[in-house]
Parts: sequence; C-alpha cells; structure tokens
Amino acid sequence: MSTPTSFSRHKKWVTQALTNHQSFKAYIEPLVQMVKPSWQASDCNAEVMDLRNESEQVYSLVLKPSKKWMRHTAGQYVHIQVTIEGVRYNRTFSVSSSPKHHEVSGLIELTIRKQEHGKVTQWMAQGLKVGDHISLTQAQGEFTLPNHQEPLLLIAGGSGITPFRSFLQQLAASHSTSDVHLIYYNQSIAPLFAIEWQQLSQAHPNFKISLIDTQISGLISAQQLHKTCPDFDQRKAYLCGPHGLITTCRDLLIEHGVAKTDIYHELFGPKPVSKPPSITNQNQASTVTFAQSNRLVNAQSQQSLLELAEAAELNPPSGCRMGICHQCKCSKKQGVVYNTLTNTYSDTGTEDIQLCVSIAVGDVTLDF
Amino acid sequence: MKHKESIDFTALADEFDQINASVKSQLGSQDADYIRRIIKIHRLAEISGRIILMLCFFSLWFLLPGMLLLALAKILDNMEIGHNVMHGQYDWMNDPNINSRNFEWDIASDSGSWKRVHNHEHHTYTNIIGKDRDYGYGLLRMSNDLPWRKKNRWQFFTYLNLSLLFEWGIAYHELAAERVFVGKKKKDRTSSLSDSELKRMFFSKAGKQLFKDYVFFPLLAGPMFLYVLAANVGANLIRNLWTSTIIFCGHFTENVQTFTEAECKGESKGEWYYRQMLGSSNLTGPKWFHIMTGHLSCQIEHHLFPDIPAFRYYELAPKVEAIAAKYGIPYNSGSFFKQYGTVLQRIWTYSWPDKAAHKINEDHQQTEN
Repeated sequence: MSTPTSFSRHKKWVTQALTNHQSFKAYIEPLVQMVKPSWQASDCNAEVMDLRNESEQVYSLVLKPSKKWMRHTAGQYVHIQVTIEGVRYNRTFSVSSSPKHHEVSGLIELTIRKQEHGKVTQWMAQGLKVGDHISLTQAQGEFTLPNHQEPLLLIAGGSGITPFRSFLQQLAASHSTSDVHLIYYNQSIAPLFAIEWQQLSQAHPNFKISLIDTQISGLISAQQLHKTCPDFDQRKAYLCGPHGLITTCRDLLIEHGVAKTDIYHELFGPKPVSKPPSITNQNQASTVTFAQSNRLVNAQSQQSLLELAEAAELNPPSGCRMGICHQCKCSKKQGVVYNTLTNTYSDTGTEDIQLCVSIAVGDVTLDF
Repeated sequence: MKHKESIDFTALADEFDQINASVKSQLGSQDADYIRRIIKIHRLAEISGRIILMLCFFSLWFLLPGMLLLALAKILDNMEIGHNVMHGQYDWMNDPNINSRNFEWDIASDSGSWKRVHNHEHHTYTNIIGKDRDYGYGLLRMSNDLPWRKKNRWQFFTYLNLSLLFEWGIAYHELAAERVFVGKKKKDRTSSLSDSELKRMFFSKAGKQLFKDYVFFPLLAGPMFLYVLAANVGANLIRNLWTSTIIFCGHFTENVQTFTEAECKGESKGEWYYRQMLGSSNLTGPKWFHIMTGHLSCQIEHHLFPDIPAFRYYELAPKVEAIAAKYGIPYNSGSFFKQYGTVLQRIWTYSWPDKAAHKINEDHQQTEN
C-alpha cells in the first residue's frame, strides 16, 4: 500500500487539497518574498556580483548563487529568469567559468551576447546592477567535459565558446595533462577571451589554441582542418556554435572516419526553421485547433505553434523559445507535428509537445 | 435611450477597441505588483484564520475572528484573484502560479470547467436567453422571456438556498451545462471532454474541498473538531452569500436587458459591446468594496474587457460612462443597496404569473418615455 509512489501521490493530493497549488512552497512563496524578495519556490537565487564587458556586444555576468545551487559540471548550462516590467522571461546560458572556480570563490560566470533585437539580453546589460538578485535553475545538460584522458578536439563558433572556456579553466585548475586542441572560429570580429587563451596556452603546453577568422581564412573545410590540427580524426570531438558550423563540421568529421559516437555537439541559437518535408501533401493548408480556447487558426508552414498561438492572442506561457525550458509544453490531442529541434515527426495521438519548436503538419488539435 | 438603429456601432467598437489597446500597452509592474500584493493578503488571511481557529481550545471567542478571516481569504481568492486570473488577465506575466492555465481556486468547482462554461458561454452569449445559462441558472425566472411555471412561486426560497450553497450550485451548474447527470445531450456540444472525465474532475475537486474544510482542519483541532468544522462551514457560507449577492447584482438588477438568439445572430463587434453594456450593471462604493467584489462592481467594464486586469476597471469606468452617454446607451450604476433591492424585487416579481410581469413592463416603458 505505502510504496513510495503511492505515498508521493497521496502527498500530492493532500498538497493540492490544502493549498490549491502543486507544492506547499509555491503556496507560501508570496509570504517568503515579503522577507526575501528574490526567493522562489522552484528555482535558486543568485546575486549579481559584477557585470564585465568582454567586447562591445558581449558581457559576462558574475553571479553568486545561493547555497541551494549545487554545482555544475564544465559545459553545462542554466536557465535564468529576470522580471522586466512585471513580465518574467526565461533564458538559457552556458556557465562560462569552471566548477573549480565556483568551489573556490562561490561564483559562476555567464557570458552573454546582446542579441540584435533581443529584449532580455539587451535589458540585462543595462538593467541589472551589482547587488540585484535573479533566479536561476540548477545546472543542466549533457555536453560536458569528459573524465577520460583521451585527446580532445574542441571546435567553437562565436559565443559558442562559453562551455569550452569552462572546459579549459577546469582542466587547467586540475593540472590535467590531457592533450586538448581548441579551434575557435569568428567572422571578422576579435575572438572572445583572447588574452585568456594566450595565457592558457603559454602556461599549459598540452593546450593548443587556434583562432581562425573566417573572413580571412574561410569557413571550415577539410583542408583547413588538416592544416590546423593534423590528427583531428584521432580525437574526441566537441562542437559548439551556430547550426551551420555544427552540421558542416559534423559531416566533415564523419567523412574522415570519426565515429558518430565520438562527436558531441551543443547548438547555440535557434535552428532556422525550414519547411519540413511532409507526410501528406505539403501545399495543403493546415488548421490548428486550440480546444480549450475554442479557436481555429490557419497555420502557415514556417510558423511555430507558439507563434501561432501568440498571433491568435492566446497568451501561452513561454520561455526560452528554443526548445530547452519546456515552459510552453502543451498537450497535443491529435495530429502530427514536426519538431524542428529533433527533426522528427510526432506520433498522431496524444502527447506533450513543446509549442516553440513544433510546426503543424496537417491538422492539429492542441489542448490549450 | 436611443433606438438601436440610430447607433453607429462601427464608431462605438473603435472607441472601445482603442481603450482596450491602450490599457494592454500599459500593462506592467504596476499590475504585477498589485496582484502579488492581493495574493499576499490572501495568504496572510487564510493562514492566520486557520491558526486563530485552532486557538478556540483556549476560548470559543477565537472562532469568530478566525471564521471571518477565513471567509475574507476565500472571498479574495475567488473574486479578486481566482476569477480574474482565470480570465487570463495576468497571463502576460508568464508566472506559472498566476496563469489561467494552472490556477486552481478555493471553491467547489474545478477551474477547468469554470473556464469552459463561464469564460466562453457566459461572456460570449451574455444575457441571450437560451444560450447564457448563467441567466437565472436554470432555477430562477428572472424575466418574462420564460413562461411562468408553478415552481416559480417559491423561487424566492430557491434563491436564498442557491445563495447559501452557491459554490455547489455553480459546480453542479457547470456539469449540468453538459447534461452530464440527466437529460438530453446538446446537439452542438462544444466540449471535447467525455462525461466520465467531467464527472471525475467534478468529484476530484469537490472531494479535495470537502477534505480540507470538513475533515483535515477539524481533525487537526482534535477535541475541538466540531467547533472548527462549524466555523469552516460558516466561512464557506459567508463566502457563498457574498459572491452570489454580488454576481446577482451584476446581471439581474432592474434595468438589465435580455436578448434573443435571433436578434444576436451575426452581430458585429460594436453590437456585442452594446449588448454587454445593456446586460450588466455596476455598483458604486469605497475601494475596499471594489476589491472584495473582485471589481465585479464594475461589471460593465468587466464584460467589455474581460481580460484587462480588473483593478483597472475602476479608472476605466468614467471613460466608459462618457462613451455610453455619447452614444445614448444606458449605463446602469448605483449603490449596493439600491441595486440589490431591485434584484430582490425582480426575483419576487417574476415569481408570479403575468399580471405582475405586465406591471414591471409598463414601469419600464414609463421610465423610458
């Protein structure tokens, strides 16, 4: 009778009965916030210690997470939440500092590019002050520094460098002798952390760091790879950056005999949504039904269901808009959707989908 | 009052659309801070109420303030927080706890069924006889649109019972809308939920509410079980009476009008606004009164703009009244006692066949002339 699952189910029932909330913490959150304004039931809290400019467009946010925040593994990311004009926004950033650094100083760094039309990244650069508090989740992500000693090839593009800064700082701090080659691509802008790379490669002969300006040396190619890192096919490869770089690079490595299982990647920035190949006739207009709101909306082929719901002024909860935070999760009752993140088609039946990365393929009914 | 034909509905719709857009563009910290402050007061009232009730072990006098605080908490939760949050007034905040998708309230009916019946049927088909089931709740004859029946003779007592048991009346009413328990299914049924799902949700929510107020907290009081039980019943009755009274004042006062399905067929946005104004009535009073009614005291503004944060209705009211005057549309507003008096009168009048109903109709025409 009292198995753990039935116990937790009963506990949940009682919590809901007594508080009408999913957790007791969520119920008392408004009261705790009277004493500690930045406290949140679900997330941790972090104090802004510094906001350091790395370049004109990029800054690092130095945070001191509360004790509730456990620790991260080099390469992981966190979701942070800021409130702008009463609206909560969630965004995802890799931790660009090492776990060792956190151990010693209690601090972590997030390195953030101001997006051209980005509301949040622009606001944070102006609106956050030292001493402010923001909310952040525990670190997540599988794209992490491996434990083994095998040689590594790290390929980064633009602000995709952030997890690798964490990798290298961690290796340096733990006096690792691993053979690591970092190739860092930028297009006609100065690489981030240029001085740090110089210092790191001087202090650690086992680190090789190549900075490539694609404006001068061209985009990644087999020839270029051979020249920069002759033994690239002997290494475990980690790729992080924009979609184009990752796919080109991945194809290249596979072509040269690197096993798929030796290639790890993390996508930075949303993947361009392209018209999905279709199961049925592509030209057929699809209708999306929002069942709870009792609305029918004609879907355009490139529009995510989230954009569609927003255009219909249904105010769905949303977060990262790139398929990471699961805030916009919604139950699909019927129909097929195409997931632009995983490039897969859904089943036809009931399942939870993320609105921000789903496109309707044919008619779809959502429980919203 | 002008005749309907002489009103420029396009211009009317433009004026209201403009108000709507201008308020929506101003939404921000002020609204977020307001609703969070009300939620804080709710928590303080609920928790302190429950604790004070437990103190009845020392003196039975503690029962009274405890019960009143609990009633206050329930009223705030239902009126200013729950009803408004579930209308999506605060969805833009992107706070999962203050979101129409997730919010659950301290009342018998579950939030999902409320949103389906109230937000959709009542707000879309306001006061259309046969479509707005909230008009008389299928129990009361509130106008001579419905033929008189014998049961209407004692509808004043039906009304008093409905008021006291309002939360259960509402919860049942929402299921009855789908003919879940008895009767024929509607042909144009919109809900995609099966009867068994609806029933499950009804009993699940009702069970939780009964457990909380009539089992858990009374048991917690140990030997004082019956006293805390009685106080909890009292708090729920006070809430029921208050919410029912306020809601009746919103749609059943003397001059509120009804509509037929035929006259509303293919109506424009302007005509919809017009119907919302004729079908609702406001209450005047001090600020605390507006908050306790969840700003349903500004029922007209609520029906025009159901998803604007309710505490803004008060500042919108003069603008809406000015527009009403400009277009020659009645703006039905009055003090609580005046308005409630006419509600009781209406319930009484329509308890009886023809003669009395004729009389009120004549009165109507006289005031119009």
